[in-house]
Amino acid sequence: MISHQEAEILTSARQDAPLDPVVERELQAHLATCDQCRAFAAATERLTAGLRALPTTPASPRVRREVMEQVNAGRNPLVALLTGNSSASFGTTLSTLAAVLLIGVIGWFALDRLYFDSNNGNENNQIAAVPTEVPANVFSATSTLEATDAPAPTATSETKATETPSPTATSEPTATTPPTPTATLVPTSTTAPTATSASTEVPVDLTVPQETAAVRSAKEPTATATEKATVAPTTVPPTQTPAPTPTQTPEPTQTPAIEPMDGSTTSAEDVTATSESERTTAASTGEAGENSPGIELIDPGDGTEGAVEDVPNETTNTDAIEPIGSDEEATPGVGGSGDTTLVEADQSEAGTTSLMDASVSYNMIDGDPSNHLGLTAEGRMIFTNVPDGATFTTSDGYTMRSADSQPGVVEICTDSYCEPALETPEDGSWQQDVPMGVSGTTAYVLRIYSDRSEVIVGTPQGTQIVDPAVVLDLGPTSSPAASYDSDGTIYAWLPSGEWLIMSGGDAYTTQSGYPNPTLVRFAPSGNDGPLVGYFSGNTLVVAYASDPGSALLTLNTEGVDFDISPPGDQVAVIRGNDIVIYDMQGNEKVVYEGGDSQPGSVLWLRSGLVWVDRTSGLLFQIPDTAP
Amino acid sequence: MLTDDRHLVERARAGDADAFGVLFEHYHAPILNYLNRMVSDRALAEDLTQDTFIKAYKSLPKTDPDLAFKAWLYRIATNTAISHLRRGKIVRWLPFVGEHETRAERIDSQVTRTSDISAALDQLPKHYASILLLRHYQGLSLAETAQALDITENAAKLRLFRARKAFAKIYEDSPLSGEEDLR
Repeated sequence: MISHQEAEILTSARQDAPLDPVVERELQAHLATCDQCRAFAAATERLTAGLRALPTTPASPRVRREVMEQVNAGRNPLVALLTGNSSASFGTTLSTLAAVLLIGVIGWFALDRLYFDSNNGNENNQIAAVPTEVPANVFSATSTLEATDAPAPTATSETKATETPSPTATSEPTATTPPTPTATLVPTSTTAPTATSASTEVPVDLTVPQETAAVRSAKEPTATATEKATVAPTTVPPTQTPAPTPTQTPEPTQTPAIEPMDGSTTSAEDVTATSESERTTAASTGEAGENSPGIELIDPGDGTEGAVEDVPNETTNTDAIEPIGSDEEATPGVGGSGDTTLVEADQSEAGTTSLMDASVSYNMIDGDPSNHLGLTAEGRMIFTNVPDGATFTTSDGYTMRSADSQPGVVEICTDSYCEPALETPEDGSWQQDVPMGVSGTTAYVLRIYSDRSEVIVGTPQGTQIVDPAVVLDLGPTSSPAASYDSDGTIYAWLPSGEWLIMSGGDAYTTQSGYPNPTLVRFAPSGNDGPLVGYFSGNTLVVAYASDPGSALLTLNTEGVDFDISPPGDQVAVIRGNDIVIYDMQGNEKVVYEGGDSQPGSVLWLRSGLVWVDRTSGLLFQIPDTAP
Repeated sequence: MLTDDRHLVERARAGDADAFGVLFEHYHAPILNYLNRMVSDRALAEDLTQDTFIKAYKSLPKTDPDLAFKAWLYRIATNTAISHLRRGKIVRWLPFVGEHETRAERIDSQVTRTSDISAALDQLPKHYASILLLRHYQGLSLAETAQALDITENAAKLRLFRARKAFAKIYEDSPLSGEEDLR
């Protein structure tokens, strides 16, 4: 017997290929008894038929004319120019014309020299200086035309050819393009004067998504290069600092190449790489609080106190992701098991990241989407305000919780019934027992008296906690608001201003100056030990989990959510509609500018940073954020 | 598909503009129609078609010899359309349809009306619209559809399923559906 969902999937599948006869019969049997599935089947068949019946329109003469003009122009730029075809290959044809003129001028002088040689050899020295100026002027004028007049589609190649000598130019890919015979005639010394101005006109390669091009054009390459010179990239984690690649510094003596329209244009990959380096801008250098308002630096213990290093402030786009258990290959997630088939990012034809695949609704994730995105112990994404603070289950299946019917009593439940887990003290000062959590087969209970509190540890068996023992006397305190379990250690904030940490059948407290923690998140596999992060008012605190009150990093931010990278070396914060990554020195990098989107929650998986867009209801992943 | 597609692609890759011209003539109208359905704007679709073929012409020499030209061309077209729509911020995103939320029984035969199909396509997330159009309007095989979207065939099957569910949901919530209830 097949389920409704299976029936719907099969109904869809048979639109694409016939089902196995046995499966088809099962489906038919189900449809015969299920109105909902039968209606979906009918709708699917009508959709298919309707799509096939959609009318078509004839070819467009305009498109034919314009495409073929450009194709033919690529075949013979000079013919295209002479015939007035000036669409996409205008820059190419201008370059060709310039080269032809150059040949003509050189030829003229050659003939002229031959003439004087044959008539008056003494004239040679007077005339010899002229040719070196005239071609230079010709080419310089041509370069100006190319930089200002070349239309978008093929402007990239021509403009780049004139930009090459500038260290800030983005034309390095063309430096490897074999120059045409025409290009080799161009004097290398004539290109420098136009390089700077030309480089501000960053052209757009056709194979590059336009949003990338928009980012490129928004930056001034010269300024970027200047800032890069002051960057100290070694101070920033590699994932945050795209190191300048060798291709970013072209050889000043490189001979400019005039690219033919034969496909040897800059590859999209190369352009993208250049684009990303251009998008990288250095943050200003200075002391904390001066140039990085809102960042308070805590001495991480490595001698870098107070230092705000220059870091790239790079804005990237986000990829959409496929849902858990979806249709793509598994991508490891935090937890290392369970539903880790999470991320898929389509690639465009040019190998750049496509944004088209925004198909995952957060409605597919369990839990209330108004809560924060998290992972279960099995690595499954879930919306939850961890923890629920009421029910805990041991590894051998006993459930501990507060008894509904008996206020202040902790009970243990088997499959069939629940009973009080601890005997109620005869002491008249006893007020209540609070379940704090379990770790393996060990249960932790906070027993509160009117004048003191105790942490009791024991092992639930049957409906009892056997061998209960007081492991910590807390003095006067009241019940914590919540407790948090991370990797077998249980954490609770006590109203007395302390963290209560329970692990290995023991418990201890540690003072904290950051009261009333909310949205507590852990990075249990941090390189230097587990980390914990939480908001305390408008301060985001990151600390070693073993001492949550001693901050490694504090950020004054009103973020709605944050998460620590799995290695524990970065923190992602939703700040307004932006997503910002901080390293542990407080250096920041904006990785997503929200615009119309409204990031509501963020989760750092091993495959990258995932965020929830409250506006669209979709999940996205930010590229290049895998730790 | 042209019977000598591969030969033409080989020649076009080598820079033969005439060969590319033949390929263009064959795929020009289908790509235009596909893009027209994607963006619902004939003039814009023509511009995007032009962009698609120019990109293809420029990129062809860099492709592998065993290129699946048709799927590759549709991939360029799809990405071109999506990129354009995103720049204009007119890509429509809709929440995914819940598994058991569709009251598909309310969808009747009027769904086959062209205007209804078009209206529903306009409301679909573009990656759903594109896969439905590629598969059923353009008649690409499942493998070609997957190639055109640069996803696996299994991913294509799942996306088709979701697209159909989303379509049913949109149609269910459409004014037309509401009119049906009032009768």
